[in-house]
Amino acid sequence: MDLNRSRVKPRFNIIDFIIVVVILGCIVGVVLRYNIADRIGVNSEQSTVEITFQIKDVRNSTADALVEGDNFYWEQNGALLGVLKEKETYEAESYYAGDDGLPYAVYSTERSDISGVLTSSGTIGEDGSFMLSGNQFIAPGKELDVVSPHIEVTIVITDIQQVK
Amino acid sequence: MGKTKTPKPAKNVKRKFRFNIIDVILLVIILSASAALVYIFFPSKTQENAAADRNVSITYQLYVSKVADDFKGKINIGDSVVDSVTLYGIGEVADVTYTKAMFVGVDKTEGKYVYSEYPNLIDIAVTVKADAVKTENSISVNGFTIAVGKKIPFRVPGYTGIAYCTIIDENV
Repeated sequence: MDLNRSRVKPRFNIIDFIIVVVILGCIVGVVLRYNIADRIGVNSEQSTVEITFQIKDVRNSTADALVEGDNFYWEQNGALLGVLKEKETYEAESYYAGDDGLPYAVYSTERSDISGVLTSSGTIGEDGSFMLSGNQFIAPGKELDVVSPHIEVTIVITDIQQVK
Repeated sequence: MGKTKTPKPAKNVKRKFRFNIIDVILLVIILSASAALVYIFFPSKTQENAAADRNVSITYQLYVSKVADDFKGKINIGDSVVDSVTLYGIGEVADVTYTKAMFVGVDKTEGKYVYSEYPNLIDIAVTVKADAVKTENSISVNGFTIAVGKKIPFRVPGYTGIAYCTIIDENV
């Protein structure tokens, strides 16, 4: 039995030190590249915003299931999107081509277009971009699958305004 | 009976450096991290023939069709454009125009196409300026390949959506 060998303790040598420094450098590089601190909302102040959205061409019962005061969550990650402040419902509009080739609007009494406003909070960047809860970018044009206690539906964000 | 003495290590004898398991693990981590960083920061170099690369300034057009006119004014000159999948910067908005979306119908009496406007839909043409790398096979901005006809998910601070690239011009 080699007694000398069993007594050799691992020592923290210069190679280990260099390797640790390089690893720390890599981590710092990745953090800087992706602005992770900003993305997780560490450095940001929360602002209250109103998110305006549209839902097109859904059944009238869908419109009824949008209940003011309900919390709405982003289905993808469970983040709280906001509280439904108000909604307006219209007869669903669509267009068809007439015999003259021009577009004519028709309105359905069975289906609805909806616009609504959610009160939400997040951070607003220097460039005006909005980060939901400080870490999820959303902007007008974004299509989101959302859930509330009464409904699962897809909305399209049309505006985000900071509440003064 | 004499006991067997354990030989003492001689003083001033240098201990031989041993490459231990910790070193192996750390080296593997470093190599992985380095490879990832090279891929993140220099993707075009790893995927294309670097010798044929040429830095060029380009302008290209992103075209968003038939969206609600609520989005008018959401994209502005000077906005940074980001590929919304990889989050790479892909240029800066140099110009933007909003026009009524075109409805194409057929006049059944005359038998010809009729072009008219949707009352509440718009098209958005975004001209983006960027520094690109041109190779024999592609033009890329920050590693993101730009090509006419390509569907590009993009975002600016005030809008996010999907556009098609319709024009690429190399700036002289």
